[in-house]
Amino acid sequence: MNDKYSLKEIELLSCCLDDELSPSQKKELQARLKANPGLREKYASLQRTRSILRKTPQRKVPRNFTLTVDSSKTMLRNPPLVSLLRFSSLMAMIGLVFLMVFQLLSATSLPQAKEVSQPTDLMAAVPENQREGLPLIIQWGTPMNLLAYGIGGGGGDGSYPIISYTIPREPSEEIVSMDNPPIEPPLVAAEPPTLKSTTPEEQKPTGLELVGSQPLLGVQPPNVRGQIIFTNQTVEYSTGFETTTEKRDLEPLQKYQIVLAIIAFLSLTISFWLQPKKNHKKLH
Amino acid sequence: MDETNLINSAQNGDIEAFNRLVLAYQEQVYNVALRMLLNEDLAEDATQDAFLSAYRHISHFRGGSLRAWLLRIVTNRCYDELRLQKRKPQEPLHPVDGETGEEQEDPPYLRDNHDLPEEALARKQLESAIHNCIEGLSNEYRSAVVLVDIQGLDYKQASQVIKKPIGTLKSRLARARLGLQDCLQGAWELLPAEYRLNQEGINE
Repeated sequence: MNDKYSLKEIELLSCCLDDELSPSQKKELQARLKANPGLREKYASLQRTRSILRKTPQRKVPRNFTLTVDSSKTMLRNPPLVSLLRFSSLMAMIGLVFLMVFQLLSATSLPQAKEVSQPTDLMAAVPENQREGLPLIIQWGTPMNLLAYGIGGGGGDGSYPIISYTIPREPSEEIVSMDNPPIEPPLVAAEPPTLKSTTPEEQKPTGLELVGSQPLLGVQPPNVRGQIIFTNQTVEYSTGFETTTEKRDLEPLQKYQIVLAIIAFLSLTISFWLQPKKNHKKLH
Repeated sequence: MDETNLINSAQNGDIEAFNRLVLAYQEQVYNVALRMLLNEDLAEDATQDAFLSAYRHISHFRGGSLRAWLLRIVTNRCYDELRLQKRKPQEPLHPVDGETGEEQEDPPYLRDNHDLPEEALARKQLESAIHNCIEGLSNEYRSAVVLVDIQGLDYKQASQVIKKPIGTLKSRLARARLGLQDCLQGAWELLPAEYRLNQEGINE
């Protein structure tokens, strides 16, 4: 029955019951009511409902709600400490939300850490007969006499293809063995690294040859500081390191977030605990 | 002393003047709370809270209808209570007696009213039917129908109480009446004969 008439029509009928229609609206509705028995029945039904509601008995008040001087001063008034705690809780919440939004925006604006994949140009250097079936080992800076093949047990049988990244070195610089690690490894490449593919048979330890291309940690000698050592080959790795550095910078934010969350929670909890309990029955 | 003078005195801290205003409006405020909350104890608390809040903030009252202002306060208090109830339903299976603290064997809704006078019984039945139907309405529709149909406020006053435009009130009221009409039709035969009205024409 309700589906027959739109809510707009029901609203018109309802307003008509309360005499809240303009004269023109009322005249138009009366004409429709005369022509439409269903609408007339709907109107009568709403009118009956309204009449019944109007007959709802008014209850007597169970008691007087007048106030006393004491009650008016004490009731519902929070102590200043409660208000202060709630305010501090609110501020901590706002700060927390702000930091979270800031962190979120910072994280989305950073370049995504790229997963280092096997460089195709390096793969091209591997002889075709060795590309399949055997894992590729890329050596980064490991002297050949300390070579491990990455297959567990401290070395392999030397049957895997190896790409070595050779960095030219000053003749005066020495490779220090792992038994006597350098404090400041003066590893500097004066020119871009050269790429060569070697088979296991060709791999021979050389005294001054430094193998590898990973970013080399250490302090450069003063005469080469500021030079660009690697260009194309190191882009991906540099990006990865920047991302890590940025993530490290975000850590203090998380500490602040935790502190703010604790402040907000404690302030709110204590304020609820200190809030005066209402007991109206004792008023009179 | 007229209402304006009483308000002025109350604004200056005269609690006796405020109490005279309380006595003038407490029945209407209590009945709005009762129809909104459908619980006598909660209605009592809401009414007391509303008057306390009104006393504390009467300095902010800038004229107009004091009744609408008081009803707005109690309506907001009822909304708060209804929201609280929605989150934490507190109706016990067996209501507890307020004085003894023991479970009631015969809560009001189970009581046999046959020993009441006929008129009182009819009124009780009507009230019960309306109570059940109002309970099914949302808070917004409930306040519209309580203010306009039960308390008899006009659209302008009711829209001031709920702080919504008249158009919103009209829409809510129409929907509320539609819902109540369907509900009351289901209980039509149970209503006392005097409340089963005949069809009325538009020109009446």
